[in-house]
Order: sequence, then structure tokens, then C-alpha cells
Amino acid sequence: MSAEGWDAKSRGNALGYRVFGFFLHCFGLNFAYANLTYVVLYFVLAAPKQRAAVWDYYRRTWHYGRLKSIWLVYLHFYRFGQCLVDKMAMLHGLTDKFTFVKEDGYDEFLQSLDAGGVLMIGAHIGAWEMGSPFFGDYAGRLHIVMFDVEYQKIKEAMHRGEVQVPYHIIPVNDGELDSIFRISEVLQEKHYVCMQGDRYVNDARREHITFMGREADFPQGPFIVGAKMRVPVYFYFSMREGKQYRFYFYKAQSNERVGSKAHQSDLLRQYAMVLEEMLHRYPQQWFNLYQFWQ
Amino acid sequence: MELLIEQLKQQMIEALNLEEMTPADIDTDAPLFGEGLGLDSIDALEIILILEREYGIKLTNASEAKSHFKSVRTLAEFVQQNRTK
Repeated sequence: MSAEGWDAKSRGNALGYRVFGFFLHCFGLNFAYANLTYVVLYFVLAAPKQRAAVWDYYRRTWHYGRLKSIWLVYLHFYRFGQCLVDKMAMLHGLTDKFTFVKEDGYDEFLQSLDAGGVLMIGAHIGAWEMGSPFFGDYAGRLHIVMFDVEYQKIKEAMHRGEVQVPYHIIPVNDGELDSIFRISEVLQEKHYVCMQGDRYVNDARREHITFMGREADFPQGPFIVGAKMRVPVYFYFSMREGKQYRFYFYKAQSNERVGSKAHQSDLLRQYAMVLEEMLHRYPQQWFNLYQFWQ
Repeated sequence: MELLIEQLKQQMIEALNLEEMTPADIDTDAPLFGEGLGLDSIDALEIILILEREYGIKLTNASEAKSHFKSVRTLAEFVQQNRTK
């Protein structure tokens, strides 16, 4: 039996984003967080698939009891809402409301950025977008790969003048080639590509591994790009600690033949190991809100 | 041109692990992606790397690249016009 996989759709609508944008501008960050308490309750009740996925996460991945899991499901959605509000605040230019902490590996990461093309593989944990103002001048050479459905929402908000996006976006649709040409092009131009390594939409391009003690499928795409393109590969995560974000940079190292299938699998193995470490540190920031495990 | 077409087909069979196929099985004018050979975007990456490694061609214009990847023939024409080795 296979997991259903992500359906390439995201919840939330333009009105919701505009309301919270209004809250942020007029009443500040804490007011927006306070309003999450009832908005989250609505989503817990109105989003059964996402709720079931988070329930499964606490019950079968963390083996928590029912009562604790009920509380953690609510808290999980609340943390998700906080990260969304933070991302909106960042896109509205409120970067001074947050502090940023760099973990070890940052200096080496900067050296790689200075040297040329870099592939960054992130995940749906924390809020990776929080790093873009922090990257400063580097953000202008940063290209985020995201599913078209997510890109359209940002594009609409940009057209309305509600948000400013400091990085470039490479929209991706299953079956279309434009994104892979663009990724290849920008890496050759010594720019940086950031993509997520924990969601697949193409059934034929997934790899089955044990993750957090359970069977799961990961996309092959990001790791094939990492193995083939001969650029440094970093696993990058931006994790919330109150109004502070901590950035993690792990450089992938492999002794396998460059470009080989073994190289690709080795990158995925390392990625999964680091991602597990992140989940142990920040269990409430796993935002892959669909039935991820089989 | 025919030699280049055969060469490209052979290189694609090896790089894309199309082990059960021979160059004769690949229709020169059939679409490479979707219908036809049924390749996907990851296979496109392999072809990009073939162009770079075997013919010294670096794709610098993503918006134009798609038109060269329609079939083996359009790919061969592109290689013939732009190869540096």
C-alpha cells in the first residue's frame, strides 16, 4: 500500500492572507498571533485530512497517548499558524520583529555561495522563507523552486502590492520541463537553487526509505539534481524559537561516484538523517500536513 | 546528420537506462516528452548533461531550450548548430 502523496494543493485563501496582513500592519505581530487561537480551532475542525495526518504523526510516529495527542494536534496547528504569520510579516517587510541565529556551518556555506552555484535542499519544517532577508545581497541570486499552486498565491499578493519577495521563484508543474531548464541555467550562472526534499508529486520518481522509524517515500528529483549538477549541496532549515529563527546548514558529503544512483541515494540518506535530527529538536514544526507515512 | 541522430539515440539509451531499447526503436520525429518516448523532466536533465559533456553545449536560455527538446531530430539540429566539440 502506498501513501496518498501530496495532492499539490494548499489550504488558505487570499482573503485570509489579506485579513492577517491587515492585522499585522495595524495591530502588530502579537495581535495576529492572538487571533490565531480561534482561526486554528476552525482549521482543526474544518481540515479533516490535515488533522488526521497530524494525529497520525503524534500517535504512530511519536507514540503519544490520545489525550496528549489531542492537545498536541491543536498546538501543532497553532505553531503552523505562527510560522505562516511570521512568513507574512517577513513578506510585509517586518523583518526587524525577529532575531536570527546562525548555527555552525554558516561560514562554510557563505564560502560556497561566494564560489558559485549551490543547491539548497530544505523541507516543510519551520519556515525556510524567514532566511531570505537574512541572506542579504545573496537573496538576489536565490531561486526558490515551488509548486505552481503556491507560486500563484504569492504572485497575486505581489500584484496587489501586499508583499515584496526578495528572491526569485521557479514555478514547477508536474510533467512540465521549464523548471528543469531554469534550474540548470541558474546553477550554471552561479546562482543558488533552493528546493524542498520531502514532497513528491510524480509517483515514478520517489524513493522508499525508513524515516522516523516508519516507511515513507521521498522525491528523487532534488537528490538527482544534487548528484548530477556538480554543485555543493546543503541541507538548509530555518526553525522557529519564539520570535527568533535559528538557521541550520549541513553540507552533504559523499564518497559515491558523482552523478551515480548510489550518489543520489546517499544524498537522500544524509538528508533524512538530518531531517530526523530536526524533528527530534522541533517536533511541532513538521508541516507536511498530509498522510506522509505509509 | 543521420550519424549524429544515431549517436544521440545511443547516448540517451545509456544515460536514461532505456536498456530494452535500441536506436531503431526510437522514432526520430516523435515527441520525447509526454506522448512518444514518455520522458520526464529528470530525463531532460540527463539530456542537458549529455549536451554539455559530449558536445560542449551549455544551455543558457531556458525559455528557448524547450523547442530544441521536442524530438531527437530537433535536438540533433540544435547540437549540429551549437556544438563546440
